[in-house]
Amino acid sequence: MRNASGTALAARTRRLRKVYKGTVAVDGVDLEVPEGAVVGMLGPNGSGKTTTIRMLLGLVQPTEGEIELLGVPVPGAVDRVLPHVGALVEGPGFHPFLSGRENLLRFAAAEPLLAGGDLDHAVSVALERVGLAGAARRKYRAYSLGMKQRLGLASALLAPRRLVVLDEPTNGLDPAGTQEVRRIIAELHAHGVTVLVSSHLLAEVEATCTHVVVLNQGVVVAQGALDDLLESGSPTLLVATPDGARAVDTLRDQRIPARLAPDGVRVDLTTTTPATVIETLVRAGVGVDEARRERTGLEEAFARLTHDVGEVVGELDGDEPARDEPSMAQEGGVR
Amino acid sequence: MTQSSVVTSPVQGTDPPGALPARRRAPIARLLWAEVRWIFRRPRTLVVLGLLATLPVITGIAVDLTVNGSATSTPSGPIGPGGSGPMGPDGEAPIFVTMVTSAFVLPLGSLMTLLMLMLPLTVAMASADALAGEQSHGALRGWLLAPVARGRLLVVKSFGVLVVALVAAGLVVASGLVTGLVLAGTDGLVSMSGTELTFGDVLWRLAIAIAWATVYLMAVGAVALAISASTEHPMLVVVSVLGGLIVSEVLLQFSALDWLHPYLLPTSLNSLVDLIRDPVSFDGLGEGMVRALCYLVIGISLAYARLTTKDG
Amino acid sequence: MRPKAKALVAAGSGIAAGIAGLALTALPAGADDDPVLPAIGAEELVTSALEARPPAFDGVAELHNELGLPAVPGTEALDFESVRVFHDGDEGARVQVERQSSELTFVKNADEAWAYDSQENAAKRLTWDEADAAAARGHAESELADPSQAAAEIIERLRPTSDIFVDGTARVADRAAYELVLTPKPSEKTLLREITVAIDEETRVPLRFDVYANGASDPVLSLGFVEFAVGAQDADLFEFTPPEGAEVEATEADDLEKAAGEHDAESVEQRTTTVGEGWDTVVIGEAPARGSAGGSVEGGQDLTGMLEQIGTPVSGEFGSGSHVQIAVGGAIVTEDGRIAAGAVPQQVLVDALDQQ
Repeated sequence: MRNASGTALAARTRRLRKVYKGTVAVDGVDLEVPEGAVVGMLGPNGSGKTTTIRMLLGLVQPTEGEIELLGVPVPGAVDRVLPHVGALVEGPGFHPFLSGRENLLRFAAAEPLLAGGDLDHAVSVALERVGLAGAARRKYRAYSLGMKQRLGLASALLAPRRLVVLDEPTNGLDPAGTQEVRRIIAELHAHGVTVLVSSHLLAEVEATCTHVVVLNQGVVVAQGALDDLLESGSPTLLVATPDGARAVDTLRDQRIPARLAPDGVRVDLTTTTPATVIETLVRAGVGVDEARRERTGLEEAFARLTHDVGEVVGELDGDEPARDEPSMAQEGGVR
Repeated sequence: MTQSSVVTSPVQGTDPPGALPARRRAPIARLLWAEVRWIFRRPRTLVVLGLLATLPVITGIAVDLTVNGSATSTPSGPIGPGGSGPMGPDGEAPIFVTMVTSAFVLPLGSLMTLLMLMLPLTVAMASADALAGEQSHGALRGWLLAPVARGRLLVVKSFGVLVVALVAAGLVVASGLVTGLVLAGTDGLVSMSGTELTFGDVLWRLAIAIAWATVYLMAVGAVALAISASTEHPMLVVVSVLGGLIVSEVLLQFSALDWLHPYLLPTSLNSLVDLIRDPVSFDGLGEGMVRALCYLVIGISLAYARLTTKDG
Repeated sequence: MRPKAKALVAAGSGIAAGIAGLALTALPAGADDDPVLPAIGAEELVTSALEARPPAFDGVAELHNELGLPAVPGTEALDFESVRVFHDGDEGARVQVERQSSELTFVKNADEAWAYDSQENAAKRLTWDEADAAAARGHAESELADPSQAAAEIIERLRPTSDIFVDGTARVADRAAYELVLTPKPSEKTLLREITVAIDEETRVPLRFDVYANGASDPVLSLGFVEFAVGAQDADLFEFTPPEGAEVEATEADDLEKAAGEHDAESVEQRTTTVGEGWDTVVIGEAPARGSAGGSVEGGQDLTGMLEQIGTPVSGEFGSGSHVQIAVGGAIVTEDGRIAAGAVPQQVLVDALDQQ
C-alpha cells in the first residue's frame, strides 16, 4: 500500500464519512499514515479524531468510504490486522474489582499473537514498560487517573505491534507521565513501529510526531510531514545583528517588511528570499552575525488552519483550563 | 497531499501478498477460561451464589423446625413444590410436608421455588455484566481490539452465562441434597405416585433437574444477553428480565389467555414436578425444553444481530 | 451494508424459527384429516367396544372442562392437569391423576386395588373375595379418570335411553377412530344435547368422549387421550407398596356395595340415592355439613352457605333450598342439608326431591 508519491502506508482512508443520526462526524477524510511514522492527529474536541480512529480499528462502521490498515480492508478483514495493532481508544477500559495485572491477563488471553505460555511474561513486560510493575497487584479501583491511563497503554503494548494507535494517551497524566508516554512513543518509533496518536494538545504533537494530520469539524484541514507543515506558514528570517534599527531601516527602504524583535530582526520572506535580505544588509554595511529561517510554531499553523474554516483557536484547550499548556508549548517549541 | 492515485480495490493492495498479515485467532479455550475466571472473581457473583446455596439450608431447617418443633410455631409461608402451606387444616403437619426435608424433595422443591425468580435474576445479572457491564466499563472494546470477532465474543459470553446457570442450579440442588441428607438421611425418598425411590433414582432425577434448569436458565440468559447487547446499563437488563418474568407470571394466572400460555417461558416450570412422579413423565419436561430452546434461539440471534452491528 | 444485512438475516431467521417452535408446542396434537375407515354399524361398534378387552397400552389423557362449576368442594375430581394410564392387557391397570403439585395414583391388579393420594400421603387398599372379584373390580376408583373406562361406562349406562349412530371418523392421539354419537331419546328431560365417543378402530378402546350441552357448539366436558401407545408394560407398574409413613386404610369390597353405581367419585363416601335413569338421572345425597371438613382437605369452607349465595332460591314439596345452574345441569341444596344434582332442568330436580 503506497500513496501517489510512493511512500509506503500503514493506514489509509478514502472519502471516509460517518453520519450519526443526521450529524456528520467525519466527512470525506482521506488519511495517510506513512509506515514507520509517528503521526499526530490534531484537532479540537469534536473534530472527528476519535470517530476516525474508531472506524480505522473496525469498531464503528463507516457510512461511506474505504479504509485500509496494514494493506487489509477494514472493517471487512479487520480480524486479520488487529493482532498487529495495539490501541488505546477513548480511555482505558478495565474492571475495578480486578488488579491491574489480572485485567491485563484477561486481555492478553485474547491476543492472537501471544502463545499460552507467554501470557504472564508478556503482561509483566508491558507493566514494566509503562512503569506499573510496582502497582501490578493493586486493584484497578485504587489506581490514580494516570495509572489507569498507563494500564491502558500497557494493554496496547501487550504483543509485538506493527501499528500502535493512541487516542489522547496523555489524558490525566502528570508532566512526568507525559514524558514517559513520549519516551514510549519514541521507543516504538525507533523500532520501526508506526504510531498514530491523537491529541488536542499541540505541544504533545509537536514534541513527538514526524507527521501531522489536522482535523477540524470532521474534515482534514492539512496533513503531511511535521517539518513541511511547520514551515508552510508565512516564512520569516531571523537575523541577529548588532545594529537592529539600521537593519530595519535598510530593509524597509528596499520595501522588504521587517521589524525589530528582542532576539534580532524578523524579516518577512513572502516577497523576497533570504539571499536577497542578507545581500541587502551586507551591501548597506549592516553586520550579520547569524541568519536562520524561523519556524512559525505549530500553534500558529494550527490556529491559522482551523481559523480558515471558522474555528476559534481558544476552543482548542478551552475546556481544560487546568493544564499547564503554555509552558509545555514552549518546551515543545525549543525542540 | 491528500490525493491518491492508487485505484486498485483496497482488498487487493499493491504491496506483495507477504505484507498481508495472516489470520490468527486466540484459542477459544483460553478465552472461555479467561471469561470464567473473570466471572468467579467478581465479588457480586460469589455473594449471589452463596445466597443461593444457603436458601435450601434455611428452607430445610425451617420446615424441620416447623414440623418437629413446638406446637406454637407458625407456618412460614409457602414451602416446597406445592406452594401450599406446610400445615394441614387442623394444624397438624401432613406427612407430605416431612418429605419437604427429604434429600429428594428438598433439592427439587428449592430448585423449583428459586427458578421462579432468584435463579433467573442471577443469570440475568451474569448476562447484564457480560455485555452491558463490559461496555459500561469500556472493556468490551478491549475484546474487539484484541481482536475477538463479535460472533466469537458472543460464544464466549454465552458460555460464561451457561456456566453461571449450571453452577447456580447445581449449587441449589447440591445444597438441598446435603441438607436433606443431614436432616432426614435417606428417609422420605418417595415419589408423588407413592413409590419409594432408591438413592440412585434420586440422583439421576436430580441430575436431570439440574440439566433441565440449566437449559431453562440459559433461555432467560439468552434473552438477557440480547438486551445486554443493546444497552450500556446492566441494571436495565436485570429490571427488564424481572419485568418480563412478572408479566409472564401474571398472564399465566388468566385462564382466558390459555392460547398465550405456550408462548410464555415460565409455563414450563410446572413440568419440573413430573420428576417427582413415578414413572417420570417426560412429555412436559420435553415440551418445556423445546420452549426454552425456542427462547434461546430468539435471544441468541437477537444478541448476535445487535452485537455485530453495535459500535465498539 | 454487509454486517447490517447479516444481522437482519440472523435476527429475522432466529425469531422466525423460535416463534415457529413455540407455535408448534401450542398446536393441539393430531390435527390431521379424518382417516378413511371401513363402514361399521352403530350396534356393531357399541357391542365391540363394550366387549373389547383393552390391550396392554400406556397413554396420556387430558381433561377439558367448560362446565362452569363453581369452586366447591367435591369438584376436585375434575381439577387435574392430565392423567396417565397404563394397562397390562389383563387385570392390571394404573391410573395417575396428575395435579399441579400432587398426584392421585390408582393401581389395580388381580388381587387388590390401591388408591394413593400424595397430598395426604394416605393410601386406601381395596381387596375382594374370589367370589365377587369381577363385581368388586368395577368399584376401583380409577375408572373416572381413564377415558377408556369412563367412556365405556357412559355407553353402557346411556345405551337404553339413547339414539346411537356412527358419525364418521376422527383421529385421536394419532390413532384412527370411529365417532360414536349418543343423543338422548325425546323422552329424556336433559340439558345435554349429545355425547360423542371416539372408539379406536384397531383395539376398540374408547379414546375420547365429549359431552355437548344444548345450545353450545363446543363440548362442555372432554376427556381423551392425547397419547396412546399399544405395547407391553413393566409389571412393576401394577404393584403398589405404600411408602413408609403413609396412612393406610384397608377396605373390603362388600363395604362398598351400597355406594356403588355413582358418577361422582367423591360422593362414593356419602350416602346417595338416584332418581330416574339414563340421561335425566338425578343424584340425591347429603350435602357436607356446614363448617365440616367434608370429603376433602380444603373442604373447611361453608359449602351450603356458599351455594346459597350464588344460587337462586327454590321451593317445593320437599321444602326450600337454592338452585345452582351450570352449563350442563344444576344442583339444588335444600335447607335440610340434601343435595340433588343432574344434567337436567331445575324442575326435574325439584320433582326428584319431591318424589324422595
